[in-house]
Amino acid sequence: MDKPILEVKDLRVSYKRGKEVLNHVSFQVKEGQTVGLVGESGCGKSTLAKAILGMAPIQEGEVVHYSSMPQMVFQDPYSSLNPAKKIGWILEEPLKIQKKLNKEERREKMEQMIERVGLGTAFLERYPNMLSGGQRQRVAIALALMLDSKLIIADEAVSALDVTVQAQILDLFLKIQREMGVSFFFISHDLRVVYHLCHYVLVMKEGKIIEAGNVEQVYFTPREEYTKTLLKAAGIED
Amino acid sequence: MLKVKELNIIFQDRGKPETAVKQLSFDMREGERIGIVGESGSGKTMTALAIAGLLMRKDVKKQGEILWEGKNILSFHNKELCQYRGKEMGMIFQEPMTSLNPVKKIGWQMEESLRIHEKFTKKERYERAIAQLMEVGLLDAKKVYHQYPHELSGGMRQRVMIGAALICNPKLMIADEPTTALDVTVQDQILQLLKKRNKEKKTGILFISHDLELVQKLCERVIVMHKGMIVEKGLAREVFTSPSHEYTKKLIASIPKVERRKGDSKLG
Ligand SMILES: Nc1ncnc2c1ncn2[C@@H]1O[C@H](COP(=O)(O)OP(=O)(O)OP(=O)(O)O)[C@@H](O)[C@H]1O
Ligand SMILES: Nc1ncnc2c1ncn2[C@@H]1O[C@H](COP(=O)(O)OP(=O)(O)OP(=O)(O)O)[C@@H](O)[C@H]1O
Ligand SMILES: [Mg+2]
Ligand SMILES: [Mg+2]
Repeated sequence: MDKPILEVKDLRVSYKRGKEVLNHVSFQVKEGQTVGLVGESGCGKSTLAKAILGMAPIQEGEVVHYSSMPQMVFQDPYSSLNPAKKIGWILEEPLKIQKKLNKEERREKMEQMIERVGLGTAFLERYPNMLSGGQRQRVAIALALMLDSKLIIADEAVSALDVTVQAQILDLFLKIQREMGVSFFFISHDLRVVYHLCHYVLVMKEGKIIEAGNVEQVYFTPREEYTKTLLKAAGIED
Repeated sequence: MLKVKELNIIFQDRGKPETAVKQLSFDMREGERIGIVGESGSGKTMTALAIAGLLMRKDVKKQGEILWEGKNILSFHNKELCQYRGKEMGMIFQEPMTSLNPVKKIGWQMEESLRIHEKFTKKERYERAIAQLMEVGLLDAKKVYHQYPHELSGGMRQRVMIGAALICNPKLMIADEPTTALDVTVQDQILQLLKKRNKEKKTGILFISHDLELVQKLCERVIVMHKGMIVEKGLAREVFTSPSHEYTKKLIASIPKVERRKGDSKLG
């Protein structure tokens, strides 16, 4: 549990037109650990996720991966699912590229995964536009889990789900973590969900990490005023 | 103002027809705030799209009636639909990226319904757009005006869409999961804005959400959907405190709680 799987060192990111979005961000995600990232809309959370995947312009600093590339659940599931392909095709594609499993094994894996996210195998025959918002979000989660990646980055991955389905997905994450030692980098504006799932939490404000620590510690003995404000707004106070 | 009568929505684009919404009926008076909650896939978005006159595809069969000021939306002509959408009814979509045009700047999208429905000068449109962006909490409005959707964060995009839907002062506002990408503080701000419009302009609000707590904060009445049907309806307060249907009870019971743990249950 102490070996890092991801290390972000003194990261600075700015887009072409505009000021700095991430300002000297550093943290680690360890094996089998879930690190949460919270902070208000527009503070730079998705940018950080993208920078980790090499999809944002890094000015300075470094991202070190200690395993194969992480899989990502994007904030906007619609744009990450190819509208011209059936769900079955979309889920199978990464397995085909990986070339480890034969056709039957791939089929079996797809069927298992679609059921684990609470959708029946009939969904494999549908196109993305034949799904509800929450169903699409669950397909995006299933897709990220297909390759047994050691690190999953989830950007607002459960925000479109009602609490009953949300609880099911959070349990799935915890189960996968217990079984396979997967790490999660979990971005959410929902502080209750973060508390439920994460070991460690980062609080971001205007592109800086202003507080970080064990979840219990940050939630019950916050140091920064800003963290207190966030907790209070979410109705979490002791 | 709005009367939905025995609405059925049936998909027939694949082999056997599938009913997404069954025998749905409810009324909405002028200036009322109604919430629809329900499980993922229960038919909330399809109901919203049908009421918004956006489910006109031929391969989707609709039965029943949706009466808007006495006239059936399901049999509107193109011209009537155009007047209804944007002017009389504003819609906030569940997924912002599907409704924002990726190649147009935010300013253009904000002003779209003003260009179609109002006779404003360029300057008046600009001023309205900036004021509306500020009102949804995008304080850097002049910058946002010149940006493209992909240059905004998820929550910023969601707020642009809310602003664009409100800009023409519609009589009915249909909001499909409008605050999923927003933190509690911004969420409250948006709820306040909707309440204000509701009070000052008598805007009717049909608020769709999977979040029962949120619905309770905004709406007077609530409809609970499950598998395409209404399983419970009543005053939001009452449904929340004494739910009668199993699903509603489950919905209330699964709200995650934050209680201090001894040791760490997530480890090991
Ligand atoms: N491609 C881009 N070009 C220019 N600016 C961008 C781009 N992407 C994001 N930004 C800006 O960077 C800032 C941070 O955006 P980011 O998407 O990281 O926020 P976030 O914390 O994920 O917010 P939310 O909770 O609303 O999703 C915002 O001000 C946004 O406008
Ligand atoms: N083109 C289609 N063909 C067949 N079934 C469809 C099609 N489009 C949607 N559906 C189904 O209709 C049902 C209702 O979908 P709807 O989008 O209304 O759900 P929702 O209540 O909004 O859910 P969510 O909370 O996940 O957004 C879903 O089970 C969905 O899979
Ligand atoms: Mg984001
Ligand atoms: Mg929906």
